[in-house]
Amino acid sequence: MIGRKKRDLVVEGFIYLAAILTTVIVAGIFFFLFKDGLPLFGEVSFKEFFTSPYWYPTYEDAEYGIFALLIGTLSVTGLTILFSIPLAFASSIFLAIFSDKSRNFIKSIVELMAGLPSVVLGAFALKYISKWIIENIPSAWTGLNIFNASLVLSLLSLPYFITLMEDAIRAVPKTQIEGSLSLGVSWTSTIFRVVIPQAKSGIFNAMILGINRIIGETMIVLMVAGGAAMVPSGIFDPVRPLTATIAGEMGETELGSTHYFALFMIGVILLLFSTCFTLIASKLKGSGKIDKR
Amino acid sequence: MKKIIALALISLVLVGSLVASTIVIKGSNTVYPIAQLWAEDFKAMNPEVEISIEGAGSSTGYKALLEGQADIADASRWIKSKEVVAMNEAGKLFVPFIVAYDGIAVIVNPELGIENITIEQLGEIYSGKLGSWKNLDDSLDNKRIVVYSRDNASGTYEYFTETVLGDERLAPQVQMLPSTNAIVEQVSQNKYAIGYIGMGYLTDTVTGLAVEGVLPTVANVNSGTYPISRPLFMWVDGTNGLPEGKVMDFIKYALTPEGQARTLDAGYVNAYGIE
Amino acid sequence: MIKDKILKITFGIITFAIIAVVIGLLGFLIITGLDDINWEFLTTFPKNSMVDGGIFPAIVGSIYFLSVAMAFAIPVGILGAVYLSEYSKDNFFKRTLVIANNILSGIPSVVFGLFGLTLFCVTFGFGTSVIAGGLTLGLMSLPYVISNTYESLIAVPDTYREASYALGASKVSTTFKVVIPSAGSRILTGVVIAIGRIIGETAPILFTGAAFYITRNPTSIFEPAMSLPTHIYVLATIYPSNVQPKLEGTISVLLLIVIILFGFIGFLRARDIRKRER
Repeated sequence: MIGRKKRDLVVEGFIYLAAILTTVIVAGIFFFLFKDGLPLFGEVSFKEFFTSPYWYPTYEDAEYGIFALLIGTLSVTGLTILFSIPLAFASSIFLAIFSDKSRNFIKSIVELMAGLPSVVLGAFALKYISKWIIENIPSAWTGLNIFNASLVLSLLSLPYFITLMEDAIRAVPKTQIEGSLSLGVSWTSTIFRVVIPQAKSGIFNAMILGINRIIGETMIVLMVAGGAAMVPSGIFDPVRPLTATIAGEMGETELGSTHYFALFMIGVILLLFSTCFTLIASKLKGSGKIDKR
Repeated sequence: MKKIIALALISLVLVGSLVASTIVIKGSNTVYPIAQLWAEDFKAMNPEVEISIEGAGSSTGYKALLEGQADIADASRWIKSKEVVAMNEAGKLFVPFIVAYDGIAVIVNPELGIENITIEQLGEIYSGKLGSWKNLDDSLDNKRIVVYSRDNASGTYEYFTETVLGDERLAPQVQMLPSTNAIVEQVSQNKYAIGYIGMGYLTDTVTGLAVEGVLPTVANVNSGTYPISRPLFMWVDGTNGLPEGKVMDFIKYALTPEGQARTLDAGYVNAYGIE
Repeated sequence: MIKDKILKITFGIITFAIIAVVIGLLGFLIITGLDDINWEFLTTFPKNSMVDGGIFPAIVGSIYFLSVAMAFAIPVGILGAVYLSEYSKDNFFKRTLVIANNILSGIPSVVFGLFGLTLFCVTFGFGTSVIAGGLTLGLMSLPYVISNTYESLIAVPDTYREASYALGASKVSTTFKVVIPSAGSRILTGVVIAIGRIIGETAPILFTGAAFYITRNPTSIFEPAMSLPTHIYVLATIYPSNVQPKLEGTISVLLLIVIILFGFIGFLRARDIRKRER
């Protein structure tokens, strides 16, 4: 029989171990991705990788320029933001301020939205939305494009935006809102002059975390963004975002080839993106606060 | 406690490897549909054998064979020079079997109204030189040709682009999709689209073009007149001679007339005689 | 005021339009696949190159992957959250841990896939297996478990802890016999949410644990397994369009499971609220 003191010490040891493990995992992810990504620059110049629009990894005289892929990611993300942030903004205000009886119902549907498997949405968009685009939008020459991917990604990112923005708005002290209302100021002005300025950093935090989700989404852009490694000139052009490139090509890539290193380097870029976004979000929120999911 | 866990883990591995007479097939997903049919048949004949089909591409197959993690590697392309180097360094020898042929059909929307195309025209379309259908044929609409391709890492892509483009590059605006089904779906929706797929995926929603006047049919692939078809492989580790037992029985079954007849069920073309 | 009314109605319409789209889409996808679901579909192996048969091994495989993921994430996540809420002071170590947790939760799923591939499959030599895929999913769900458990633990009133100390209990006993049990149902809710977030994940297990066809269910965690999301991906991409009914059926099954999970979360929360009101 181990003494109680000793047992407590062992348990506490495990608690500290578990606490350290998260940090170790993050360090491990950085280490392994850099380990398999950095060898790329022994064979391809830094400048070519970031500025060349030519992604021809499987040719004899292969080129590894991710500029077009990067623009692909940015354009899909940009359009998704345009679609989803205004909508999320409106419904988070509705949820936080106007809804009373319907709130629980709406909240539970929003939460369910976040659980929708992206592969299912991708399969839907591939079959139905692309057909609708071809039939109804004359200027669209292909059904798989930035527009289609952004539409589906909006559905996926809305729950993150709505939940986090609502939290930010609800965190505004009640007394301030009541104070404004008691002065005879309308709800509309109170919302735009008192609530939103107060909730500003929380709303920014929500935006950054949501945008991070959009950039990292893989299956939807793999299935419906169009797959063309070109620099787009309009929202109905197809693109090949960074995540889709990894998922689409990894299985057929020789271990230890330049192509393999290049895909890992793309992984490194995604990792750096998401880390930066998370750090900015933490700064806005005040460091030491855990992100709510 | 830790020792017990370690022991339990080790015994799990041992038991797993003793009990299981599992044939592990890894590699190209082009080969899956036919590999699955053979696996089903083989399992029906040998109920004690288990088969698993894994992997996400030809490269994963060669890699797994090298590391001894697979008994059979599926491939839709020939082994690459780097893979040969790795094989030599490991002192191994892989042996290929041609198990079927894959005829690649060029498809357009039925409403477009063309039925024939040449390799040269395909080359001009896929390199981006022919921007509009009118440039191909004056009777066609002056509309942008919407070009679809398989992902640039797939064996099908490599074979097709080599055949129609030679050394030239695919135009950047060509849309690379991860799946054959997506290409069929898009071409059936879009009047001005063109794509290429495995013959087995042809449906009546798209038109399979005659290439150089030859229709994509089983007979034409078999006789060698259809210009775009390629072999599908299964590789085994032959370092110490051909493997014995169930692995070889599986390949033997695949190459019997019965097994070869199954290639047609999966939409491919038999490599050996059926009758 | 009329301006307020307009604002309320406009924002309300937008909100309910979003909800309607989600419900409509879910309803459409579930109903399309419903007539393909029957007992045989749920309990048999795929046959005839996926055209016939069912998705039994995909259902079993998903359960295996999730079990391994949770066997890792629940103990590590709960202990990590215990550290944050009960042990940590506001120091450098705590801040590092919180930031690491936030970074982990923001990493794209495909990057987890790459990491799982190099660490579990190649470096640890697990190959394509339930344990490699399950652990990759476990890493992904860890931040969800930590942050949800942490929220539930700090919601436990300090009076509970003080009462326990007053009875002479140690910190460890207080944590495990008083704090965790009283946060129990909320911790469970958090775990179910974490499962809901990873059950549909495709990219992390595509290269690390997924088989596309097997003739029997795995008998050890060192074998690969099929899973529902990868099965959807395979049916939608690799096989010809004659598997469409099976694809619709599989989508329907996965969505129904997700809805049941989130229904269960709703039930747990409602019970929790009733308890607190009493």
